[in-house]
Amino acid sequence: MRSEQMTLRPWPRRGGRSGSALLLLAGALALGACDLSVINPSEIADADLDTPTAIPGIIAGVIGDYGLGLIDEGGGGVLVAGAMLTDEMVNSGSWIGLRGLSNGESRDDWVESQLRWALPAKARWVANRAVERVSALVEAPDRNADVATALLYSGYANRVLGDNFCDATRDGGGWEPFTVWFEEAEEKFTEAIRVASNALADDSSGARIGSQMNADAILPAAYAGRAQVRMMLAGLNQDLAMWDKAVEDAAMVPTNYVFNQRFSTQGSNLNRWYDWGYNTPTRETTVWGTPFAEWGQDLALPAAQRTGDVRVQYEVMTGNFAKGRDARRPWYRQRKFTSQSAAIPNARGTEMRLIEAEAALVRGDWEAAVAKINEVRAFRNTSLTGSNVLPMVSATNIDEAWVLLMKERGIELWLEGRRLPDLRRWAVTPGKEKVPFKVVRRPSGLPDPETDERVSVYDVERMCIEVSRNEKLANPNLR
Amino acid sequence: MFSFRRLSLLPLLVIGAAPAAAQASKGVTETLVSDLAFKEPNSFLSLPARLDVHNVGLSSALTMLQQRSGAPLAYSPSLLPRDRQVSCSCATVSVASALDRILAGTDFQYAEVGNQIIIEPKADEHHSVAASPAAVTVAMSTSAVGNGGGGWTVSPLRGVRQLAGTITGLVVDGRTQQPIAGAQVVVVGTTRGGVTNAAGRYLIPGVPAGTHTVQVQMLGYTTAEQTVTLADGSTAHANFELTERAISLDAVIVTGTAQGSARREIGTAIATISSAELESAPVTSVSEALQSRVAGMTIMPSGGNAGQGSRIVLRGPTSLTGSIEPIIYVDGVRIDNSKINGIDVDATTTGLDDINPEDIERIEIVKGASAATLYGTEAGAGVIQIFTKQGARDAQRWSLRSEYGISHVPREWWDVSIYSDWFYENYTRLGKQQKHTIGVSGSLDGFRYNLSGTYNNQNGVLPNSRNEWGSFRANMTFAPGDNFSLLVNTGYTRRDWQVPEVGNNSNGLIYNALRGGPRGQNRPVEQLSQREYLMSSGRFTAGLSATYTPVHNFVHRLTVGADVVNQDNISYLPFGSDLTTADGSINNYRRQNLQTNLDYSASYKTNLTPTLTSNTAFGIQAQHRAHLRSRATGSRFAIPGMKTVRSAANKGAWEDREWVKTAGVFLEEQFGFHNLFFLTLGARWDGHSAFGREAGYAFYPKTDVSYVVSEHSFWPKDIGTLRLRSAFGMAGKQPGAFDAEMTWAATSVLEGVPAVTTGNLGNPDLGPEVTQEFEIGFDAAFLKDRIGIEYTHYRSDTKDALYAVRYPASNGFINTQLSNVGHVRNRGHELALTAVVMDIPRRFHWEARFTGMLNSNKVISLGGGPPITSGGWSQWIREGYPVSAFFEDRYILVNGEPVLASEYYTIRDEHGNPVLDHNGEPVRVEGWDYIGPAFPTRTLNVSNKFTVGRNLTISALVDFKGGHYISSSTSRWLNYEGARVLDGEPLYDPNDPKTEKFKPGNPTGKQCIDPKDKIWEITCQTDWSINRGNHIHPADKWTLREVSLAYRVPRVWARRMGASSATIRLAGRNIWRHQKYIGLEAEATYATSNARGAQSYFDTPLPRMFVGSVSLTF
Repeated sequence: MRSEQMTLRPWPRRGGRSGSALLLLAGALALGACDLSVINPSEIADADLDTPTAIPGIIAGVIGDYGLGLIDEGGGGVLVAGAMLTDEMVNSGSWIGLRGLSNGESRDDWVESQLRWALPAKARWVANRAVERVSALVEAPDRNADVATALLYSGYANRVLGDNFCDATRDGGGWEPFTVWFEEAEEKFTEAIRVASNALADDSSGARIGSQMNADAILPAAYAGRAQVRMMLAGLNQDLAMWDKAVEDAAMVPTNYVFNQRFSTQGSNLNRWYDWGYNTPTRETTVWGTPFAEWGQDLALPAAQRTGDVRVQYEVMTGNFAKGRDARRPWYRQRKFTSQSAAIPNARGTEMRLIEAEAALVRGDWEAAVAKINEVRAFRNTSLTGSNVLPMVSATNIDEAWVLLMKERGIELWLEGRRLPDLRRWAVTPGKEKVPFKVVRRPSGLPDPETDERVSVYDVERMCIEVSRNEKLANPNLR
Repeated sequence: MFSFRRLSLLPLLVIGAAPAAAQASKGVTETLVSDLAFKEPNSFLSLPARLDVHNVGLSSALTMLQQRSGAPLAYSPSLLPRDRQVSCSCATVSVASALDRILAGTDFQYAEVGNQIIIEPKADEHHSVAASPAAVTVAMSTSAVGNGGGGWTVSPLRGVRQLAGTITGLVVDGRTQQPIAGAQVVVVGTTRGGVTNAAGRYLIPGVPAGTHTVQVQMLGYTTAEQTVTLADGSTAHANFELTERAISLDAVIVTGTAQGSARREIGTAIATISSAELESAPVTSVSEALQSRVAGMTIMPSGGNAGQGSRIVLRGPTSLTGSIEPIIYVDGVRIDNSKINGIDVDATTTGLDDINPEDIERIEIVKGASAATLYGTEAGAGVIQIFTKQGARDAQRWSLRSEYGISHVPREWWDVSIYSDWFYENYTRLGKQQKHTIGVSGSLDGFRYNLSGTYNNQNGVLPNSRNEWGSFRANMTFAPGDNFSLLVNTGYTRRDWQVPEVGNNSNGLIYNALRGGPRGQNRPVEQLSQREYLMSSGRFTAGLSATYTPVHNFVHRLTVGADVVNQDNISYLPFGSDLTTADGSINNYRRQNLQTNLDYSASYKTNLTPTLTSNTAFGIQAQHRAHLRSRATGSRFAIPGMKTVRSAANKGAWEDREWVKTAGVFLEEQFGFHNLFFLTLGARWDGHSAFGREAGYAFYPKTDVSYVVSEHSFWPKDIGTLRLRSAFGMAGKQPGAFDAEMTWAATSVLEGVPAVTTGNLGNPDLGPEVTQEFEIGFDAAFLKDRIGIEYTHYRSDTKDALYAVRYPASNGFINTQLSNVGHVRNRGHELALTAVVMDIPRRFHWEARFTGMLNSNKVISLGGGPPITSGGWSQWIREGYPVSAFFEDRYILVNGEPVLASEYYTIRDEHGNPVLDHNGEPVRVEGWDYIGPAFPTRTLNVSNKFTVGRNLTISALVDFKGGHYISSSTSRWLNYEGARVLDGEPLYDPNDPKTEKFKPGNPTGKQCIDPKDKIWEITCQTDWSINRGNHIHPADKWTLREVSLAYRVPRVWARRMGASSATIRLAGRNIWRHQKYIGLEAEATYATSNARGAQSYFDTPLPRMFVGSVSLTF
């Protein structure tokens, strides 16, 4: 980074008309040593990053941009948008973009849609650019933890794009099926695993030590991410071989593992679930009207009266905040993320067990699937007591087991951005008709808690988020 | 910039009444004698002439000598030989020498009498001039006034033969009622005459008995006549109210060169607003003073709270992305006009309003690129030049003005919701204001000064609306030598400003109250005044301008100026006062802008041939801007009463600093032919920090022509005045400081870990957008100057407009990148018409003024770039449409039934299915969603001024803005399906029929209570996410902007108060309005800082205001 100031421009070097040269010269002489450079110590020129000392900032930027891509302020990012489109939360406010999603539509021209696409797309580009730039700055890029970190986040950025967006366009290119995100993610995760493994194997240097993540921390994150995208590719393509690969990756990740995306109030990386689902002025999203309101715990109740799964916590509000910003729908505010610095998991070991369970279901082994679900619950119970202890579940046939799995994934991964890819995948296997979840949808008008009926969660135009209108207009290959 | 001081002609004629006259009219004589002031002999004659003219008319030469030397000249223009051409390279000589040269070979002579220099025809018999300052009477002898052959005599008192009677009187400006000094008064058909003194009085003794026509002539005014009957030994009174000439071709305009130019010499239409206009207008700010006075200038207020700023656009928006407001100079010092508050409230002040209107001598509005070329980069949207008052040349004079007023928004102006009455009664108030100004002006041995101080306190019509400011101005002029003068202008303004929560704000007072009643929409209204937005600012502006004439014909001028603005803005939420953050919070934004400019220019004049003059000017200009900003935030106070960031538990900080420079040189050559035809060629070259490294420097050429047809010999004298003019020129608008460079931004992630992220993509070819403008027009006066017309047609094109091209986010940079690819076009007509509708001398005078503008604005090209949103919701920049025009779906009537435009205009195949594009979107008829422009396309200002008797003046100004649209969030939030009264409404009583409208489930918006048509019926039954376009409304508005009544207290009464003059004024502003707009205020667009925004969001209506004031001079 630039230490003090940047001088971007001296007196213009070339003129348009030769006849004016004399006058310019006279003016320049009269002005003495007038230097027209602009100075702003806050600005960083691109070339300033071509130095090894810039690597920590570059890698931190990769991580930060990924976090912004998840859940930026502009309309809540893909995590909030995905929660609206699925049944994790229901809109209770006035923002058009969120209301539309909650009502089952996704439009590319909403103001909120623009950043919602742009930020994760940028996160992917920044990560890929960082791979190139850092690789050029270090001596052995194929065993460097910072290169591996950039690859890891490239993988996750691609995964997020694939999870959420209806279509794909990369680096200003033309349309591609959205599964290319998963394919690129798989490629990046694979490369991250290779580079991190090389770094760990090279004991003679400090290559395993990264500026933000060390190689040993990268490996499980990369395996978990690859398991996620392989699960998507397997489910969407009904590819049993890919399910096997997903299970192999999942097995590399212990159940107690969590790869968190950290947020902080000391900067622009804020967990906006706080703003969109917890803080009182906004009141844009409510747990009311979702299956999770039935499954979870109402923390407004005395502890002794609480029922439901401790992994889904919300609060039925009263008084001035009994209603959302729409002044209609009851406001049940989520209590999972109650600060702007709360971390959001990118991947969990428990999800790996559920990937293994789903793979078993796809192969028809529902007993194994139920066992894996109970493995997750047992793990959770190691830190729970009293009425919060999760009961073991059982099923009598594969359909019941599918419902158990779908419910378990919903609860375990609530508000973590996993619901939308789950529903996209389950639309193929086991099929939309077997997904039992109901949600409040109202295509137009203000929501009415008395009359709003629950419909299938698949009652949407497309179970995905549209690529922004800005991208479509700006990218000549999409016109 | 050159600060040309408009001279006030305040000569004091030394008059002593003849003994007989004194006896006959003692009172008059005493009054006149008390006005006497004495100067050292020849003090004006010894002033440096600073004159350099070549082959100009004798009248013009004298005018310029008067203006440039400051010496008050008294002469009768009509007596001067019209065909006399004179030259005088008199830059370094005294006024006396200059007069010697100018009058050489003519039949005229001069003499300094009292406090002025009399220029008179040499008389055959009475060639004697009083050289002594002792009491003299100026008398005149003429054989035929106006034929050029008459003779004048200024005779010493002792030389006057006492005849039958005396004629005396007062000459004042008919519009301002201010005395006119130096006017020539003659008794037609006699040899008698006189000149008015500083108090506007004249005295002509020795007039034969009988009926006479008294005629008054003054440069810049129409000639006036009265008939008086005089008996032997008596005194007759004849007072005159002169009307300004419809066209003043010799008024000097500052054009960017060292000495400015007479209006006749330049080919552009430059508007001027005089202090006289401002004094009589009920205005509290410069923004208000500019409103509705100039054709082609549109003022758009941001709201009706005390002190809220405005946006100014001249001749339509010329830029797609950059500022579309003119740059501002005060006495040659470029001032900052940024509209930044930094504390997240949609309200700002305007830098222009830091200038006290009462300190202003005149304002010049350079409307377009054709006239702004010499101002270079940044002047593409025009230039506003403010010239403050300079010291008087005569004795010290004190002035005092006190003003008190009230403001009020009528109940019906709030009437948009069922809660309007409740809101009006509980939350609006009578605004109050007071303003006091004291000033002193005078001169001491070559040093002139003007000092003034003002205190203003204004409380708005809503709680927490307050605008308190004080200003002090000190202007000084030194003339230590014949060839050197120095002007120092300084001003300081301190402002404390407070606004309620307004604009696009979920905690907004009006929004919550009108939408949700006592319970509010977002929170109870009673809680909403707890947050305070307190904004303090200080502005110090100083300029030093030196004029030096070292050698003959070569004038140099150097101006150094600085403008310093310090803002200290606080958004404060006390401990425990708000349910959002129970522990309170504070946001302190501080901003310092130091802007310095250095202008050097020089001009050299010479005669190329006996009929061809040349004026060569060149100059250098440099500007530097240091912009420092910081923000400190804190939340969670420990206990009540804490009010600083230091006392908050959680703290944050942000800071940014930037220094930007620009420099340019210019060259201008002006040729004059017979003082009738002028051709100007010029150019400016600029470099700027913000230009890309490959962009080179900017080149702005200009040319203009002016032809005073009516002064040609072939022009019949009685027809009137006609000047033809035309101009072409270019001026620029710079991009942002770093727009040319690929940059990354520093940020913080992961609990304080430093990081970088993509910022600006960069464009090394980025240069300024250059607006080229062609204008053509004429100035004309007919019917003995009773009708004056100024017409201009302009055509401006910004062909390399900076356009924020959006690149695919999938390529990593999500911010738009400026590129010189756009093309914006403005075409328009401006007309200013003045007319003396009726003139019954001494009884009734009616002047009418009409100014109007038609403007057509269009985005011709975006250089292949996609449309972008600009300005706010539903506003887009698209090819073929006005800048930031409105596009939106909405219900339209088709065969009497409402249909969504998107459905109606969808192109369908033979099966009725929509035809889809490659993105799967339905194809629709081009322009299906276009609603209208965001900027007014037509304006009209009509003012009338009635003068009844001598002392009473009544004036009124009506204006109209129209053709444009505003997105009304007021309409949107109040009139849709969901805007209903909620259960448990506290204002509803089932037993009280009067509260029926508050019954739960009833609509809250006025439009939905009884929808007036089918469009509103369905609008009220649907959500605005579907029919948002139905809440974008025409913003046409008629306003009775100003009404004023001024009474000039008779001088005798004023003297009893110890004053030399006194004026009482009663005035009103925004008295009446007519708008069809669905919302609160068709003129208010809350986002002042958003140049193209036409968005209204429960904005405060511009209040009706009444003020009363008293002005005294001592």
